[in-house]
Amino acid sequence: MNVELIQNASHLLRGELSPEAGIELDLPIADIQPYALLLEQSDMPALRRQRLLSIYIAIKLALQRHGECEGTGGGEALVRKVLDGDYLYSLYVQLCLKWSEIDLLAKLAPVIKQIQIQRAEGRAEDDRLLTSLEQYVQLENHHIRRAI
Amino acid sequence: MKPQLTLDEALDISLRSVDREIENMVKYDKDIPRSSALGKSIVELVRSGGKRVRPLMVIVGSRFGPSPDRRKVWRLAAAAEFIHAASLIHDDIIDDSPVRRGQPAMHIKLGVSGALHVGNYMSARVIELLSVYSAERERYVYDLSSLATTQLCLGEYQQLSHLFDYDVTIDEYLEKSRNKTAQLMATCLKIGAQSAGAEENIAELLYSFGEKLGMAFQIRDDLLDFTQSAEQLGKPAGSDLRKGQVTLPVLFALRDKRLAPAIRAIGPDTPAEVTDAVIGKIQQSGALDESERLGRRYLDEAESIINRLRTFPAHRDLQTLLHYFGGRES
Repeated sequence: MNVELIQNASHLLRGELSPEAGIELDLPIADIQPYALLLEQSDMPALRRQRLLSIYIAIKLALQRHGECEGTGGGEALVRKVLDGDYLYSLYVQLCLKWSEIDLLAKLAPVIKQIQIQRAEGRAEDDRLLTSLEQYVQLENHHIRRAI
Repeated sequence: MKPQLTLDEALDISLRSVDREIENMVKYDKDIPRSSALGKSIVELVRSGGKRVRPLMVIVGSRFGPSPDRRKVWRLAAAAEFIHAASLIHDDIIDDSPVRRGQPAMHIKLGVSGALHVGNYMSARVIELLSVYSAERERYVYDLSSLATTQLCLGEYQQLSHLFDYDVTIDEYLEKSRNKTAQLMATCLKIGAQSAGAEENIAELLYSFGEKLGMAFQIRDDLLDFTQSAEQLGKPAGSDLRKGQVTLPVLFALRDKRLAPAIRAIGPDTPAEVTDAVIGKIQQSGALDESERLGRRYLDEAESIINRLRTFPAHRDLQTLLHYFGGRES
């Protein structure tokens, strides 16, 4: 089971979130599990798996918060969701830079951009995120195995 | 009488070229379908005008380095405007503002979700384009890190959590203004300088200059909310306070023991006529002069930095920016 990885990644992300943002990590576990499983089967060291999963959680949360805005009646609830999404989108960039995951950032940027284009056209193709991360993990595994 | 030059003319930068560079960020995106509403909305937004202060600052910054690479500098300049424009789109949702540059705001045209996607697209496009630098990894990391809007968001959170909070300190107000406004302006000058190979101490001086200019700009913006007429503002005077934003003039007015209780009594449900009366008293108090003085102090500090950069011909451009932001003669 990947419970420990999910817990560690959530703990790591909580430590990176500014208390001023007051963001709760309330993503359904089913949204995190597929990527956690992928990472657990990878050859990456434990800390890197946690980092990659916390970056993924930040992006998924950003997508979730902005995705919920339309149904929010307005007022402070809407403002919080807009701000949370904005903050999490910028945080994932900062985390990639902080943890030297530059190739991952370069891989993710066009995917996140395409997701926004699809969403604007009324098509939610958020699965692209998991697909591209799956490819990234496979590539990294390949690099790690070649280096051994 | 000699007509007054606009900022771009005074800096000898073609605004049309800047705008073209910004539009190209969308036009040359192969992922945007030709008929895309998102693409059209961004082009419309660019064409609706704007002074392009941030791109101009990137270009001015590049004049302090020995080897400006025009392509890189202009791409960074366009990226800075994209980041700024994206934040304005989301700000209009947050502030519930229906108009931007005389036209319906993006969320009025496309709905809240549509506007959010446009803003998010613009931010993601900047990251994608800057990754062209991947051969120069350090440069890429630095530029991206500088343009990330985490601080800007924190400024918004700070503002939100202090609505109608009359115990906020002047230091907290200044910190919020630094995060919300000054940091991006400072960054524009600095990354422009660094992209042209300027020495680190010069880039730091430019950052400091931009930060002080940004602070003065925010203070002036807060003052205008009290000093301009409703016609000039396009909204009632004192709108910030009506929405619960405790700005610098209010903080200074709170130091007046006779005025403070009336200010502290203002909340979200206060009748407009009561708030109007308090705003009138703030306007007549010394709070506006005190705010003006603090703004001027930032401009004085910015001017002293120009003096340290006098060996660069481009120091005149900094004087032009100072004049623009502070209404000062160079």
